[in-house]
Amino acid sequence: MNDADEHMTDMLIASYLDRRMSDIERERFENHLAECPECRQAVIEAESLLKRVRPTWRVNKVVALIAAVLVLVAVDLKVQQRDDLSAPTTTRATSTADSGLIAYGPSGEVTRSGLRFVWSPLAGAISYKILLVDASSLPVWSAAATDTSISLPATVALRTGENYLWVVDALASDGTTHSTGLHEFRVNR
Amino acid sequence: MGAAAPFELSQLLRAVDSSSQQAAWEDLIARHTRLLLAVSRSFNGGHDEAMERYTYILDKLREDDFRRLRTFDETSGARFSTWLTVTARRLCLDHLRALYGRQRESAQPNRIYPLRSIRRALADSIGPEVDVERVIDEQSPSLIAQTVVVERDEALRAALVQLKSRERLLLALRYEDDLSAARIARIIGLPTPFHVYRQLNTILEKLRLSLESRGIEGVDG
Repeated sequence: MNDADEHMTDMLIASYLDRRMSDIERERFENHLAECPECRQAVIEAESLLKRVRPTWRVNKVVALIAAVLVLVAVDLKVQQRDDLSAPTTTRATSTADSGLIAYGPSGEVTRSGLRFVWSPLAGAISYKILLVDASSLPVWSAAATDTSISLPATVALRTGENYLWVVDALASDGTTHSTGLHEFRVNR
Repeated sequence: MGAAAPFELSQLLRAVDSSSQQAAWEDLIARHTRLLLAVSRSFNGGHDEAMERYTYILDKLREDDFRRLRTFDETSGARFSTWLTVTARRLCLDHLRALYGRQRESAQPNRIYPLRSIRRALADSIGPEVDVERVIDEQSPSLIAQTVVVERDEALRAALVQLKSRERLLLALRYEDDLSAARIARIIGLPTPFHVYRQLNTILEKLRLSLESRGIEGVDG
C-alpha cells in the first residue's frame, strides 16, 4: 500500500470498515485516508450504505423480542380460548413456550473452539433443524439433526467479538412444528 | 480469524460446469440483490437509471469469468457483503464516468486540510477573539493582515503534519467532509460521539500549543 498516490483497493476498504486490520495496517490506511478525499468518500459512502442495508444488532434484538412477545401473546390467547371453550383444539402452531423445546446453549460469552448447540428433546419429534445467523441476520450455518445436540463444524468461521443468533425448529410426528425461539451468544475468542 | 466466503461464492468459483455455475451465480445475486439495489439507488436519478446501474454491476461482476469476484480475499477477514458494497459503489461511479466523463478533480498540490475550518475551530475553542480572516473579509485586506494569515497558515500546516494519522483523519472527516461526530465514530470505530469530541478537543489543544511554540499567540493572529 502506497500511502499517498495509490488509491486503496476495495478489499482494504472493506477490511477497514469491518475492523479487520492490524494496528500497522490501520495506521497506514488512515494515513492515506487523511490525505485522499476520494478514498475517504468511498469509506464514508460504503459505511452509510451498509448501515442502511444491514439491520443493526440492536434492531435485530428488538425484532426478536417483538416476535417472542407476539408468540407468547398468541399462546396466551390460545390457552384462554381453550379454557373458555373447555374443549381441546387442534392447531398446527409454531410455538415456543408451549412446545417444551428449550435451548440450553450456547448463550452469553463463548469460545469458538468446540462450540456445541444443545437443546431439550421434544416428545414425538422426527427431526430438528438448527439455523445460525450473524448480527446482520445473514445465515452462517444450518443443519438438520435427529439428536438434541450438534457441534459447529470447524469449517464454519465465527468472528471474535461478534454476536450470533441461533434457533432450533422441531418437526413433530403429528405435523406440528416447534421452536426454541432465538438465542444469542457472543464469541469472545 | 478470517471470514469465510459465502457458500454461493465458493460454489460459483469452484463450479465445474456452466449449469452449476449459472445456478450458483443466481443464488449469489438473489442473496445480495437488496444490497446491490441499495447501492444502485444511492446515486442520483430515477428508477430507470438505478436499474441501469444495477445491470451494469451484474455485467461487470460476471465479466472475464467473474474476475472481480475472484479478487475477494477471504483471508482478509472482511465480510463479503462489505466488499461487495464497496465494489458495487465503485462500479456505479465507473458507470457514471463512462456516461458523463470523470468529474474534474480539484488540483490541490498543497492541500492538506481546510485550514480555514480548522482555524475557526481553534478560535472557537479559545474564545471570541478577533478573527483576522473576518477582518480581511469585511474590510479591504491590508498587506500586514495578509502576511499574518500566510505566516499563521504556514505554522498551522507545519503543526498538522506533526499529528498522527488518526488525528489528521479525524480533522479531515470533521472539518473537510463535515461529518457529524456520530458518523465519524462509526467510521473510525470509536465507541461513542463523545470519544470523537474528546479526541478533537485534544487535537485542537495540541495544535494551539504547537502554534504558540512557533510564536503565534492564538489563531486570530
